[in-house]
Amino acid sequence: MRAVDVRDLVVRFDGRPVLKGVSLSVGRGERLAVLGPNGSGKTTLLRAIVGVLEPDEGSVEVLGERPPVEGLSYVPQGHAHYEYLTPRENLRFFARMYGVPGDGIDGLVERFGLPDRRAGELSGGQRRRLDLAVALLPDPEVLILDEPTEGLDVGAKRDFLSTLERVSDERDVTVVFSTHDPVEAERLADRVVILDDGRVVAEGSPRELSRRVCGEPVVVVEGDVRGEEALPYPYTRVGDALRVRVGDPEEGMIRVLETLLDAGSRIEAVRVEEPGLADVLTVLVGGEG
Amino acid sequence: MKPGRPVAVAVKDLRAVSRNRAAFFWIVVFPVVMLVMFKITMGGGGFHVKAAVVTHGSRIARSFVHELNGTGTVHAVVYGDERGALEALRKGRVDAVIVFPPGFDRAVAEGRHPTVRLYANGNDPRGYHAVVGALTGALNGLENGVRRAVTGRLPPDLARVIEDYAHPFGIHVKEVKGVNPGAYQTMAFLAVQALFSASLAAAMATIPEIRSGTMDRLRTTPASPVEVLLGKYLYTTVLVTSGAVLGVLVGRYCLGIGYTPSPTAWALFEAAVVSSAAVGTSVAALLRDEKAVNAVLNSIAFPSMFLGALVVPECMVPRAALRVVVNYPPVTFLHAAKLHELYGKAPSPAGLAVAAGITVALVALSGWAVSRTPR
Repeated sequence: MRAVDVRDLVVRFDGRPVLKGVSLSVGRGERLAVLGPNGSGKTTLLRAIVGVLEPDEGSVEVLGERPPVEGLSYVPQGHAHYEYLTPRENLRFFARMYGVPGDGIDGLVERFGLPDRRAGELSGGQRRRLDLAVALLPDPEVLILDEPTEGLDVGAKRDFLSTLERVSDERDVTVVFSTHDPVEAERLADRVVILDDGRVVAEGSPRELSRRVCGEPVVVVEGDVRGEEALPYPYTRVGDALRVRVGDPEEGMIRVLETLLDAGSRIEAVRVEEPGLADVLTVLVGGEG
Repeated sequence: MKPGRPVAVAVKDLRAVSRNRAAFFWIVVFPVVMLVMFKITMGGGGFHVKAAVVTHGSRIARSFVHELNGTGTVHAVVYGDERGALEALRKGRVDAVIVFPPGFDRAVAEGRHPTVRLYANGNDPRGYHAVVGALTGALNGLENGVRRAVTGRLPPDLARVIEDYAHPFGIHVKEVKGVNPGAYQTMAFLAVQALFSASLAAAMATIPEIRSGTMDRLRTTPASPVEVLLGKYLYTTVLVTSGAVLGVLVGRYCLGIGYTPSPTAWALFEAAVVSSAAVGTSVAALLRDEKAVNAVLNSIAFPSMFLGALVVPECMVPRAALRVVVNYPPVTFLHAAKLHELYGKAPSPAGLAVAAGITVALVALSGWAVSRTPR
């Protein structure tokens, strides 16, 4: 049984299709990023997965059932908690709603470093950690997060992603999160689904997608470069720089350098240009969102 | 359904509102301020008229000025000429002008029937009628005194005949105290609580849930929308009733309003609160915008208070408007409570049943609106 199974999902807002036949599947313990520009339908897809939005066509199953289901936790976009309550009060309230005992709340507060102040007075990073702590209350098997790092500065974003990574590893929880930040998706996700205009335009692991869409890594060599004709890889010359398309960047770079040095090249700089999800997004949807 | 969940929602909302100063002010403090206003404006002690009196040297007029100033409600000031007095009236420095014509005393003594002119400002129609009523009454008293002085010089039989023909019957004005003095102000205050605070409290507890995403989050928990909604109603009822009790206590112990609503009035008030909360929740869930919701709820609450004759006397409200507005369920309950408290009139079961039915429909509407998929 898959953790999440979405088939031919169509959602319309006032007759206008926002999701146009989306299908995806998430295995247990997998981390899936839904990547796409603003307005591509990411939030709508996640809301349909958690069951707060009824599909117009198609089906959604979470843990083999129609959502909302037990074992599923959802962190909506923004700050989905009560700003006039302290983190502890928020956690106690949601524990009542989830119907779980509140004896783990002190541990969560301590572990997530949540101060005893009203949530509205906490930093953006602390508030996101509170959202995550609330989501972990029912000890979920599937965790759905909508733009979890939206609005956070670089440091807070890094801290939050580390926390999420740690939590997902420790609890072996399936994580589905949306983002328009390819770096974030690359760092956290085992697999990425790229959504554009309500359709899945590409799917795969970050590395797989990058290679499939943007081609193989390129070793760029600069200086007085000679002997390129002896290289076992295709290459192009751009001014003083030689660009060599290699399959495996580590092995490829060693072979390129050995060949060129043997031919008497005087190399000033060498680097590997590996395409990333940002390049994939640029190719597929024309920008990073 | 687990009863603990609505209670948890209500406790959470009460805790939040107690920390939100702006919301606390509008929902709890503002209605008490209104109660103080009602006490001041409807308590009967606030009527005060400033009158300019042009005496033209009349001794009768001067003694009239002296009498007026002894009443405590009219402050009379002697003006030297009519033009200056009328200018003061136009500028709002006085509320009325009374002009005794030159030679008034002699004209009276000679039976030439002089005319005293009374001017009042018509800019405020209600004020005009109140001022004219008060000063006409005072002038009637003066006229009676003068008449008695004149007829006193005639043979008694003749004097009595003249008196009887000139005034075939007497008028005696007397106030009949209601069973609950102070009910008027208190019921007006309860109307503000039920119509304004209840709808606002329910709406303000709903909008942030929808906008921040906590409502979505709650919908993925085992808590049902009915449990969440019941929590909102419980919160609104507890909050608004606490505010009402506070207001009644303030009225009783700080403002001298010696009145406590009867159990029937409280029951009707609670029905109005639930009905109003259903309207607030529905409007909040449908509009999902704080400013728009405030505008809509205020434009429902304030006309209802006035046109439903809940904060103003019924005689000031056009009959046709009252007949329409009284069908709005919160007004139906509050109007019935007012009639019960002021005149001991038993509420009509049929009317209340219709209002209760509409309230149930409104509660269902709010449930649908809250659980409706936001697009």
